[in-house]
Amino acid sequence: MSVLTKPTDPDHAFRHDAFVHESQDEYVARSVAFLREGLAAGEGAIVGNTRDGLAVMREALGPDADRVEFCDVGSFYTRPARTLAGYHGTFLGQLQTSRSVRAVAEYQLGPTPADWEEWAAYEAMTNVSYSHLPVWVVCTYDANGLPDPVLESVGQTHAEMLTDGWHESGRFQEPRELVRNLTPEPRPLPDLRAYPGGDDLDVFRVLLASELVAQGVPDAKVLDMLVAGTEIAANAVRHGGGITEVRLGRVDGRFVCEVVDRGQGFDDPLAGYVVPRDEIGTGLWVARQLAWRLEFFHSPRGFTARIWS
Amino acid sequence: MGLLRAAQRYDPRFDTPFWAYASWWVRQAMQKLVAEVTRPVVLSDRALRSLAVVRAARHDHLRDHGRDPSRNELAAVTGFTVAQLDTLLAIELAPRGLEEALSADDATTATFGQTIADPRADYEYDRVLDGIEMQEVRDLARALDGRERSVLSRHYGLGQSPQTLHEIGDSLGVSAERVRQIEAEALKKLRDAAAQPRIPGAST
Repeated sequence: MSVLTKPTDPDHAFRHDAFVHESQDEYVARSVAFLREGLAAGEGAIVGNTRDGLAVMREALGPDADRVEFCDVGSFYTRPARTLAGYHGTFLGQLQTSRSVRAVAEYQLGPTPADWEEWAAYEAMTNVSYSHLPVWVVCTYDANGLPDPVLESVGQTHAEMLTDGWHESGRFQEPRELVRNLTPEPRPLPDLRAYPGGDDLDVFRVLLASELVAQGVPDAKVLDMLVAGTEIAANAVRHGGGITEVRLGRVDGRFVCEVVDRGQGFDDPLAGYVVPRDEIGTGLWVARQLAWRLEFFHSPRGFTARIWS
Repeated sequence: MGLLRAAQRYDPRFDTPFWAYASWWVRQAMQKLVAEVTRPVVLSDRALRSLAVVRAARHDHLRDHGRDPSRNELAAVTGFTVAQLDTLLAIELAPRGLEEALSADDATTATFGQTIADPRADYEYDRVLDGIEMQEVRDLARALDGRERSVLSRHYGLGQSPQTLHEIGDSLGVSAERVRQIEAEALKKLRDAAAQPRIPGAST
């Protein structure tokens, strides 16, 4: 079985395609051929999979495995922001020694339909987040092990798909719109306690920390929230005309902090999901890395950033 | 079985014809049998009668209005509370196997069980993910030296009562402003550590 590929232009922008395989043999054969072609051209190579999947690929690659980076996705497939950061680090590691990189990344199935949508959104984000990198990622999907809704979303998030050759998926959707459609609307949280706003970030952090500690949040998570909260609060002060209200409390077992500002806010479903370039976007990227979930929305109180620990 | 039970219990002193008395027991026995073979749990006679009332009300509403009644409409007609109705309607649902295919299409491997969210399982799943991330957070905190860690812990009350910058400064023999600078530096280190690209547990 051969893989039909097109040359990777090292200077070309990010490429993100998909391959739906019917068997492990097909996955291995085509993935190995794809990576070997890149290695022969001096490109870097990455395999992202579970430990079992990595073991199979390592064996199939034989001596070539020494030139491939094997990425155990179990450690960073916790939520999209972390996965984006995980692969970003891996790409950069390879790009230190190669002009361009090829990666084969096996899709990881979440436990619920809501997770499937969240990870479909992640695939859409990928198209934008890495768009500046000379990397060609082929996401692989097990046709016999994945629910139909997941398989149906593949064409929406990948521009081209590998069948008997590379073909346009024909169903590709503009990533921002797709992420917007797949992101659940923030629900009202009326039980949060409201505190007066203010622009002193130290006062904000002391308030946040005292509530986090009172709620029994572990110290490491408190530090996370302090850093994430500082980024959000600083944004509200710098770009939102100041903080009008802070709302805190526990919802669904998680600690929640809302920062309400005076500004017009923004409407970007990818805020914080795009790899920072020249320090642009670093604040929200950091907040997304450290918070369990970030939500931005307009409410009668004003533009609101909601941080879940 | 219903007929036998009727014969055992029939008391001619009440002047009730045997056929009328027996028909009640036969119907009950048949309802029980149907319940046993169609539902995962055996229902009491009372539950079966309640279900019959709900079913009849639903049928009447559908006939009169051309649509299914809402839960509130059903509650108003039957006299059950919405909570009772929910329980009864849940019993009415046909049981499905977790391994049952989602569609009749032979090509699909998705199962009904894959569409069910178990809140408790979700919570446990979140805890696993939290655990993975907590490990990385601890790694971030390693970016701090002892004094920075101490200042953050004391100012924000981590594992102790919170202290003001002045109190911390007094104990360290430095000014409150110097403590503020140490804290700002510590927060910046945590931020930088979070922003820095990470190469995950990969081997080459």
